[in-house]
Amino acid sequence: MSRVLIIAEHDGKTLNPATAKCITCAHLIPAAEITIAVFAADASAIAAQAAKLQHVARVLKVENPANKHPLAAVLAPQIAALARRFSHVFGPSTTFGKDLMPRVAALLDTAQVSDIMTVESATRFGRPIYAGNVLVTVDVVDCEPIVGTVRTASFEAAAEGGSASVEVSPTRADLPAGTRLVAVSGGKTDRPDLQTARRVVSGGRALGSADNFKILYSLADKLGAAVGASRAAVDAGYAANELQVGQTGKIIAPELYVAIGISGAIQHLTGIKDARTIVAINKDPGAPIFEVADYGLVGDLFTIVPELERLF
Amino acid sequence: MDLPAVVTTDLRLNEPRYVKLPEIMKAKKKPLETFKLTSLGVSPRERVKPVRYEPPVQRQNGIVLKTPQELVEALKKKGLVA
Repeated sequence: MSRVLIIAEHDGKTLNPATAKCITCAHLIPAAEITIAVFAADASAIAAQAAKLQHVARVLKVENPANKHPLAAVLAPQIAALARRFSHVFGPSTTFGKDLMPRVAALLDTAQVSDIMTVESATRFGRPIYAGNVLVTVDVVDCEPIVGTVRTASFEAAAEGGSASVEVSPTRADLPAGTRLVAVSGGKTDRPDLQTARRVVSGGRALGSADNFKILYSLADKLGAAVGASRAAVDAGYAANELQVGQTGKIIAPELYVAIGISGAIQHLTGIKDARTIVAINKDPGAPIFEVADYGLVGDLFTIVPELERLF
Repeated sequence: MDLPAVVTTDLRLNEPRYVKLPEIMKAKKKPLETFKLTSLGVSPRERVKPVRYEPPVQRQNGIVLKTPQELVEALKKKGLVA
């Protein structure tokens, strides 16, 4: 039997849907018993949400004032201490998980399987390489526990309907004081979160300026969509770093993705290939984005976008 | 944080310096020291073994529409927008 520990991602109040996707992935491991660990200052509300998810056997609360903000340097030794009792330790392949899980793997002197897309057995997983151009299936040998990050776009979220027990787990590891949080700054908006939004409107270099980028915001607001950007648009300073979609940005799987003025470099496409429906608006009919788009519109985005906003 | 530390940076942190030709030439003369893994006290094992490689599933080519109206109608039909 496999005993899988999943590290919950949350913002201190609400469980991030990425965690429910990790559960679906872990459940594909034959006879997996799934435990969710919630590291927080006050984990009760989050643990209660995690306990309601299907396939979860147990939720562990690891409460400590030092766990208020998810600092990888502080969380990793606590996870490593817990992990000895498990066969697998999974986290989401989000900014949170990508920061944290490699440290856990290093502390456990084990190998990490990154961006798990498929599960064939307790030790055989599929993952993307070369910017998603190739899928490789790997066997993990001689690793206990196996540390993995789950490519959330590849899995549906586990549904509610479970009733796991919630237990308190004491913090045993000595917490490192070497890394201290100074401040958290950044995008608090009323818009949906890019990583989990059902609809995303994304812009590329063709927008031409940060000012022009605003037309996407008003279209996104009309659609109730999150706003994303290509690397070219972020590099040019039209959009904030955290909006970047693609290999070095966020890997997303919305129901609707609208790519506006994005040519569709492979590094961008790898971030959106699990989107249910892709719409491309570009003036170049030969742009690679049209090869993956379900619907394409060839033309000037500055006439099409306001028109769409009016029509929706 | 306390030092020493391993630091990773955001890819837009700065504009890397351009390496000038004389510096490239100078670099060739710098001493190169080679270590044996055993002398560093590590014994790497292959713990993640590739089993097979496959191309990813390709998305089907979609349709190119003529007007924004057609797009809005198509998306409404699919229930993607209200």
